Amino acid sequence: MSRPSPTVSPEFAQLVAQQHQQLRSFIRMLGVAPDWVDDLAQEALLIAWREQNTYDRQRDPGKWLRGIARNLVRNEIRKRARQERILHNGLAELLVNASEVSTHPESWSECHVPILRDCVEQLAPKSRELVSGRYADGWKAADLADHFNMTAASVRQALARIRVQLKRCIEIHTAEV
Amino acid sequence: MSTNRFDELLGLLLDDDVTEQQLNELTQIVSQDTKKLDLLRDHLLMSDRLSQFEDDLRSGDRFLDAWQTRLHAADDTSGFVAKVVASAQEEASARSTHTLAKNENVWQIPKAAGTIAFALSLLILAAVLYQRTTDPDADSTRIALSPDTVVTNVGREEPSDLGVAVLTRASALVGEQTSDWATGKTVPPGVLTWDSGLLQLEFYAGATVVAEGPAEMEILDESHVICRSGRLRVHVPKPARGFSVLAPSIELVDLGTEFGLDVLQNGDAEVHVFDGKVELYDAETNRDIETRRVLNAGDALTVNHDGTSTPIDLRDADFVSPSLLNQIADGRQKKQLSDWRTFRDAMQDDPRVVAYFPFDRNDVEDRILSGYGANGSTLEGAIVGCEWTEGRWPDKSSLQFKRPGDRVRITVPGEYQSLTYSIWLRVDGLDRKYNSLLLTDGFGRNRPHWQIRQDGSLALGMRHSSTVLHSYRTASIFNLFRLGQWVHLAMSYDAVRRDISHYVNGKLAMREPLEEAASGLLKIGDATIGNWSAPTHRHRETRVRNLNGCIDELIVFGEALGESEIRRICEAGRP
Repeated sequence: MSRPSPTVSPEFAQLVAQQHQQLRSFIRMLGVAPDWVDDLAQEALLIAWREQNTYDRQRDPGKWLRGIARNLVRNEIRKRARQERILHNGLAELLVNASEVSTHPESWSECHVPILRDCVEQLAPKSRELVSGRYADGWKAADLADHFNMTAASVRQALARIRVQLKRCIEIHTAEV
Repeated sequence: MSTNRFDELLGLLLDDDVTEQQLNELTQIVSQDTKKLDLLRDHLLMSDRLSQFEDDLRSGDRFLDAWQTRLHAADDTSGFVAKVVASAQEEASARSTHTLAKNENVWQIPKAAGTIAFALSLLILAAVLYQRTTDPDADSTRIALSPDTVVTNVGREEPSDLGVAVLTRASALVGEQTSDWATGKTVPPGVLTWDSGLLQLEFYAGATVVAEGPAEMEILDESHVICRSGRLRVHVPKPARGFSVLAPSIELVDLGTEFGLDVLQNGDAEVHVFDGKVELYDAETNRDIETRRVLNAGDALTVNHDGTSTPIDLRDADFVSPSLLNQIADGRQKKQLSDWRTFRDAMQDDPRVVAYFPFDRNDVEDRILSGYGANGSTLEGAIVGCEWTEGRWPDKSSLQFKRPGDRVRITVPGEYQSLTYSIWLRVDGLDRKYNSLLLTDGFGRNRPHWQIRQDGSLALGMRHSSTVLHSYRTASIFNLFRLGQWVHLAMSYDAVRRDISHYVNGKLAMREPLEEAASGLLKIGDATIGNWSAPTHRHRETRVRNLNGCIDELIVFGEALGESEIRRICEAGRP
């Protein structure tokens, strides 16, 4: 006899579709190691799925998911055996606490792909290549430095400037309106 | 500690090339400097967004696929999840005490296994599988006739429709579930219960059912219905042949005809065949041929709950036909319009109103939108492009906004500590990134922008200061199957309580505290209904914000109205 499929309401499916990007970024912001971000995000969504009957629909669903994610990361910090998922205990504690203080994420952090795409496409060609090399191909600064005839430190600085530039661009597109 | 060192460590961290010692150092720096901590958070977040955007291995589709796999796995390992749930609940317990009624805007999954299952097919889970059951206790899926019968799949653009019928007419419906039963709504499988009144359902397979309450009807799919009580008239054209209705004592299979079924609370049923032919089977026999009877046009019989049957006289007039329901609904609409006109006249004298546009067509000057301002003054809106069309009722006018240039220019004088907007509109599509309801010119400080975003959320955009901009917005309200229906939206900016509230059909949809930077008086001044005029330089590239739909009433109050008042306004105008 085959096992029945887990049931997911359309409402919950929509919630996952709408929230997963922000949730994943939020988890990264809690100090989770990059390779484990999606893993923890999936766990958070599983818990949300299990607990959806206790969710008050008047609440902001993003806030609810972030609460679940925060508790997951706290558990990670407590459990030594699984610390590989956390970058650094002390840093993660600071980041988790900071995320609690600012319960309302900035509007730019909720931006969806089309806005980010627009902003990335507006980057200067070299900046675009740096972003692509770092985030699509996974090259580290030292590799990129060779390719662009720069130092590793200047590549890291350039990437930092690009991230700030993108944040401003997204703010312009989303903050309004 | 120097900023340069912080920048250096941040760069190393985001390059995934940082040592434990450097992390210790970074932790030390940010623990003493909240600005640097915020910077670190910003960079972590942006770095992850870029990674999601650029790295194919982290695409939305892959993530959702993996989640699906985990979901299946977790179904077998509930113990693991339960462990983590305990800590998650700590936070959940601190949530607000506001709760929605269980059947409000919520799709509840059937408790009984086997009745209806949504098969999870990737994220979208669109396919509805159903298995009929003969267990009378196996129903219990109470449904709202909710707009949420469409599943939108980010990354898989085509939405899926989980509905099986459309509510096409309704009259004098009374019952706990009925507040959201508006004509045009898509109806998914589930149980409909109401105390009195008439409704007409048109099933996707082609059958039309007019049902009169008190009734309890379970819709299984596009051609199977269980009637536990109530009076139905079923019209089944040829393409819908085979449409079946299950009553407590019988099952009727229509062979292309018209019949009536009256099921009493004790399970007794009357069957009347007005046209064509109907097959009758004893209930719970899985259409056993031994129990098969055929009734022809003009036949009528009563079937007791124990299965015994007796011929009776045909009573056609007792079963409301679609055309009769249409006449009844027309009469009711006239009454609703008359009630709304009384409300409209009262609004003109309401001292809280600073602008009221009832969208009554002025036959002499039909390019002017006549309105009423504060203290008995009149307002005029300049209609640009829009065409007059039918509004909430056949004799009520509305303006249709379709083309990029369509708009109504208005001027609302005065400055206000708080404001409330109320609008009746029909959204036909969300064509633009931002779809205007009422936008002030440009985007100046304390000059509100009220609009619908393309994702279906309702948003109030505010510039609180030169640097603080904020969009107060709801979750998605409009989806494919809410389009084309009249809906009431309201928004209140309450400077005393310091919050923004959005309402949909008289119900609170979202309440959010005002940003700290919010202060000063609000001003509308020159503004545009259904579009945006004089966009700012920054927004020039996205300036086309015309609404695709119709508006037939707009009210601006110079103070914040509460939930009960919003509900009253909504009820007074509900079509």
